[in-house]
Formats: sequence, structure tokens, C-alpha cells
Amino acid sequence: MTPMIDVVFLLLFFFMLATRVGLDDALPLTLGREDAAYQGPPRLVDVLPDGMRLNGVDLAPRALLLELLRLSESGEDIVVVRPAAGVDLQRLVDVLGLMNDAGFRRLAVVGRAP
Amino acid sequence: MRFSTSQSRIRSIEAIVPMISVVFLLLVFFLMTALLVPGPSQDVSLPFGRASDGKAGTADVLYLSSDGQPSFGSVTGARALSLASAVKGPLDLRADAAVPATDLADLLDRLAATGVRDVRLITVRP
Repeated sequence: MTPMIDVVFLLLFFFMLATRVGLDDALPLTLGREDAAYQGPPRLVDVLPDGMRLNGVDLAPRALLLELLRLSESGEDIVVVRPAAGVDLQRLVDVLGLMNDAGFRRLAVVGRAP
Repeated sequence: MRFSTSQSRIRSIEAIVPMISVVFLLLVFFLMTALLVPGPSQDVSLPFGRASDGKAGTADVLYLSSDGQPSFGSVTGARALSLASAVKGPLDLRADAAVPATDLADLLDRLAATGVRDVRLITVRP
């Protein structure tokens, strides 16, 4: 009996330690500019270390989202997001999360102007 | 006398049966929930963020370390990208929170050029 319990405890500890706990979320990104049919007026969001620009105009996050909603017909419209130099991924994810919350499902991250 | 000792031994075995039941239950739980996937070859601390589109799954994972080095399984560098682009189905991108966002954009450009279409950026809930 005792050896069996030993083995069971060993297995239990192994699986407890090997299991990755924590809640990870997945943020879908849109790739493939050639295939993706871009429609409507330009929606280019520049992410700066301490601000955001929509089509070259400095805007506060809330005003930017309102303007984006005005420029798009549905959440399926592509929004092009271009991070500037000096922006780290955490900052970019914060901005992408804002737009994801606002209902934009197709976010394309580009390095240079498409 | 002998009768009473065997009686007490049976009692002591009976006493640990509930514990064994609980341990088995836990064992089965962890067996079912465990995702045994190899971790990144370098440390990657994910960015905080929420996405309303769902949970990270069991897709193939491309890691991007804080110095901008991609790794796929135990392979790093440009070969990791070509391996990752051969993946059928969605590709999960686990990138370090401190990596320059322009590096990520370059990586996405290169993945798109090799034909990858379905990439999901993995974040950890704050």
C-alpha cells in the first residue's frame, strides 16, 4: 500500500508542477496585406511612446476611438497600427487592447507605411 | 490479543482510504488539465492585456525574446521563422513585453511574406 501511495504522490507533484497555470488571452492579428481587402477611408493609427495619432493627427485615446468608429462601418474593417521607434510591446498591446475593446477585430500591425 | 491487533491495522488502513481517494482525484485532475509543451529557450515575460476573442490554446508557439530573437521549439533565428511558417493552423506568438514593437512589426511582415495568415498575440491577464 505505502509504495503505491508514494508513486501516486510523486505523479501528483509532477503534474502539479508541470501544469502551466494562469489565464492567457489571445489577441488575433491580421496579416497578409495583399489578400486582406481594405475598404473605406484610411485608418492608420500611429503609436508613439507618449501618445497616439490617427492619420497623422494627434488625438487623445478616447477621441481617437470615437473618430475610428466614425471612419469605419463595422468591426470587420481593418485598422492599420504602426508603432514608432521607442515603443515597447506592452505599450502596443495596451493600444491594441483599447481597440479590441471598442469592437475592432481586424488589427494589422505594420512596420512601415503600407 | 492477536485478534485486536489485526482489527486495529484494518482500522488504520481504512482511515487513509479517503486521503487516497482525494489524492487520486487530484492526480486525475492534473493529468487531464496538464499541457505538456516545451517552454521557450529564453525567458519571455508576456505583456499584460485582455482580449475579448478568447483564450490561448494549444497552437504552435513562436517565442520572441526581449532582444528580438525569435525561437520555435529549440530552434532560434531565421530557421525558427521558416519552421513557424510551415505550421498549419493558427500560430501563437508569445513575445516579451519589453521587445521593441517595431521588431514585432518586422517579424509579422516576414511571417506574412512566407504565407502565414493566422497569428495570435498572447497576453496575460492583469
